[in-house]
Amino acid sequence: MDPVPPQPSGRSAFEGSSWVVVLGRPLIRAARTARGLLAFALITLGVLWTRGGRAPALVGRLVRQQVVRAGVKLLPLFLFLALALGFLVIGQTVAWLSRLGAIDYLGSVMVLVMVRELGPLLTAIVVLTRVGTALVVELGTARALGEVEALEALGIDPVHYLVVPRVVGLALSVLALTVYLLLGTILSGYLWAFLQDVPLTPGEYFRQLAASLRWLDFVVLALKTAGFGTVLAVVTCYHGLARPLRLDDVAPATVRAMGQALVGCVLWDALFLVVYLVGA
Amino acid sequence: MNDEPATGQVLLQMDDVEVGCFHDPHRVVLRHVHWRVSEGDFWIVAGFQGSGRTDFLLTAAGLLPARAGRIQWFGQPAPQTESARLTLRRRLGLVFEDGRLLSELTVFENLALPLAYHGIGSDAEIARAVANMLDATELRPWAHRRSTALPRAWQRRAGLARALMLQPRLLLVDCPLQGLDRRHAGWWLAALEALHAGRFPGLQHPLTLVVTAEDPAPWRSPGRTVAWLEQQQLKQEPNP
Repeated sequence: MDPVPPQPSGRSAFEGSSWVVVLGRPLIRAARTARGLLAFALITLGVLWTRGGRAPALVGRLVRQQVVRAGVKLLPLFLFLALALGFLVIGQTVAWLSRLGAIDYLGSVMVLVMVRELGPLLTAIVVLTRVGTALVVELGTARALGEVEALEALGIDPVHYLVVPRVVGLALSVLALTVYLLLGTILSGYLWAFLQDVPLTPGEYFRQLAASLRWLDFVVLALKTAGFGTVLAVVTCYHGLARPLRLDDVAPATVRAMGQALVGCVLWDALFLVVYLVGA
Repeated sequence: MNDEPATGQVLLQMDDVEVGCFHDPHRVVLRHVHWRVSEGDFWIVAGFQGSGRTDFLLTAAGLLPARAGRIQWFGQPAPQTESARLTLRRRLGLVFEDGRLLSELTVFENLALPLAYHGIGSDAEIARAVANMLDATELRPWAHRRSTALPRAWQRRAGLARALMLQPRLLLVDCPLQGLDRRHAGWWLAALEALHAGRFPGLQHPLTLVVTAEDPAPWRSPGRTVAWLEQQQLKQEPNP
């Protein structure tokens, strides 16, 4: 028997390739998913641009249905969240700032925490869990049952009929819900501060908040929240519709969509951090 | 494309077409298909389970791209523009075996959908056209039920009604008798005969028909042509 040649010191070739496999496959999968999502988003944008005026009554009704489902029906939940956030964030912040004698910073803290970051992101996450999951399941089931082919057979563009109303509806809903959440949080925050006997008049409270807000905040809030809604709709519709599914594919597609939509929202949020840093 | 096909015009032509599988794009189910459907034809395409009947119909309808070969609809190749695509869709109807109604809509809304989407008629005209079609297909009692609440036989019938709403010239029907009782099967045989002859109450002109079936026996009749899907080929029976 020939003697086994000694291995060179350090990592073996096998170890090196296993690292490539461990890191490479997920990276390639992520790149492919990102490419697919981007292509789907561009197709949706193209359909919105070229066929936006077709069947306005029908598509308008579908958009309203999405706004009711993703916006109006979530209002009670957002009222509860506004009360809870007002207590958790504003109530405590006001109490601590007053004890430290730093109540003048209230407006800045509130705008930074609630208006710029927590409000929009929390709204997107709640809409994702309440509506996004249902979207993937309903579109994935429709795909698995062949409804997409049925639409095509009738000359109805599935992206125009199924995706565009959801994108527009969710963009409007996340924007509106964020505004309601912020208003509710600010009001309930003062209520909690008032109950704690913090020496802060309503006029002073709202003056500080107003002084800390800039026009850029309103513009960025609108763009960010509409963007969140768009990201949620595109990712969930992509996983529900983009390729033929069987019924047993729907659950894994839903799980994938949830994770990717969350990552997409965080990346979109990070983009606006750059805007603020440059704007500052 | 003209809207009215000339008498005897070839409505669908396949030249050396290779048909792929919808659920497995790498699999070929039919090869070297040469087929011509002329206006006024009544084709019965028979084949056993797994012979590729549905994939063949999806390809014939232009919903599944052919893997090779050339297909022409109404004398034209696959439409490249949006208006040509819509024109083709309005002239070529497809009835799926399971109806494939949109589950979130009622039967009435399913039938109204193609007219509303394509802007054909006012709301009142659409409602009237849908009501006529519901009567013609005996679906009126189910009109305001969600499509998922319908028994399968009625779902398939609603699929036919929806396909007829756009007044097509050529209708492809996938296994209409599969799993039906005698009453429903008898209705389908009579309805398709009436559609072919131009006597169906919901349609104003004779239809060219292609029907798939596992057993062509119930469909055999003078003037109809039978073809078989077997061994990955489309083989036409000699006419008696």
